[in-house]
Amino acid sequence: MITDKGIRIDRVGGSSPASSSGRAHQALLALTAAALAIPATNAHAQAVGDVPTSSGDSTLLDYRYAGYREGDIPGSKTASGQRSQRYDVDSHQFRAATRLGAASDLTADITVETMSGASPWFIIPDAKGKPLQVMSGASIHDFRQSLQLRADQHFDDLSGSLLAGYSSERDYRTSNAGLEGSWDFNGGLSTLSGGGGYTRNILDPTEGQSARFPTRIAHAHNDEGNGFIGVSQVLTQYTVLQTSLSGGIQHGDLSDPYKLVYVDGNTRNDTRPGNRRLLAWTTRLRQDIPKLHAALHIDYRFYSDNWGVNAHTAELAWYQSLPYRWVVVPRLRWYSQSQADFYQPYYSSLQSTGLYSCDYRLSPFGALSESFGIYKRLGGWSLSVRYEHYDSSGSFALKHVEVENPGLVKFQVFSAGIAKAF
Amino acid sequence: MKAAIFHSLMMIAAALLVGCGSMDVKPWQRGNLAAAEMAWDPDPLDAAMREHTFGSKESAAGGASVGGGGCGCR
Repeated sequence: MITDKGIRIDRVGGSSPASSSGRAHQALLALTAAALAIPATNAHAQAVGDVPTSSGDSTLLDYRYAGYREGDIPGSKTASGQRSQRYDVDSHQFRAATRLGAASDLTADITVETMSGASPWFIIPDAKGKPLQVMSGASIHDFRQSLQLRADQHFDDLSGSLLAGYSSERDYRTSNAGLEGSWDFNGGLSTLSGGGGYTRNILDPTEGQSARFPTRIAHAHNDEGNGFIGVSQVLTQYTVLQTSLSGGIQHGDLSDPYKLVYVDGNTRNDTRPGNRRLLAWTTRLRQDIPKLHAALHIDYRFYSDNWGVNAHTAELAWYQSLPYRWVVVPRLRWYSQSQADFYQPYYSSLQSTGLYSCDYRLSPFGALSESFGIYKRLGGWSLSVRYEHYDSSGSFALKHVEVENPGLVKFQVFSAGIAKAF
Repeated sequence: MKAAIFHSLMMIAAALLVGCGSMDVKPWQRGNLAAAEMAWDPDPLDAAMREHTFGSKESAAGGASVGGGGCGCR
């Protein structure tokens, strides 16, 4: 059978569906598998799904470090003419998953991050109208800690999950909760899944309404409701497809309190609409290639929102199994988005809409990233390392970009993980 | 946006029709699909961190999950 989070099958050679207790056990084994292989399943780190394994482990501990390093912004793109450092993040992720009773399991994810560096502040034109980036200065030092909990319950062909989480930074707090469910049918070849969630974000910007930043807000909040519906389908004994539609509505203060915009010689606060409706269509294919001992992953997402942003994301990954339980994974990702309706790098006059933003994340651009990962199973342990390089540019966009935002980012990520099942 | 909704629903409907039609992969033929490398996200922690990172640098977001809350990076 297939779930929205992965492949759930009867044990190879078996002919009858797993019992509910067997499912729960296998779900936990998926957690185990998530550590011990290049594990099994799932869309979002909340591992559930069955992978046949001979072990009877009931608890998984998993740790991953990721070092995120943004490339410097060159002097040719800054207002000062000086090369400027950007943002660094060091992330530590911990996961503990355990079986509770015959048909339930619980997963806890803790993330701790330290962030430091500089970020784009606003953009000014030079004498010829070329946009030049003003950076915030290396003044950002923050610390984020997050806890996400997930409880899964299985009933024959139905599964339900309850999610809740909390994340805290010096200037930002967010709480979220959600429900997900899935139904296996068609002899276990199809799974219909869906869910809904709610998130509340509270902002207390640093130095809000201070003498130094008198126009910066001191407090704000926004809310988001989201949901999805999707279907997973076994197409052949080597091919499985998943397609889903997800949507969200954001309401409240959605502006960036730390960014300014240049308007005809003056600066104003970044000001965005108070609501955003977004939609994403995601399709994923997994193709096993037994002759090569490999699996091909193809993912595509189309995104659209009422701010005018349309985006395409395509990703290819090749999982190559090698002798002695090694797996190598080259991966290529392409992304392209159009700009938000109200975005401009700088403004030559006041806007009748009252909306302003020069945020590069709302600008038109494309991005390419290349990644290479190595996984190794060693007894009951799983070890992994991965490197990724990301570059964004107007030249990678689907459509011609007339004026590229000077704040577009390049970054590298190095990550390493270790996991053990008990 | 309407086009995206239409295409998504058509894709979901097509998958359901295909699934309910002639496909008949027996349980004992599904061993390959159970390989760890065939999972939607074989390394869940890494996938979560990648999504978090891309989501903080790009406008697009969303997938086959409710998601796990926000952060100040967006």
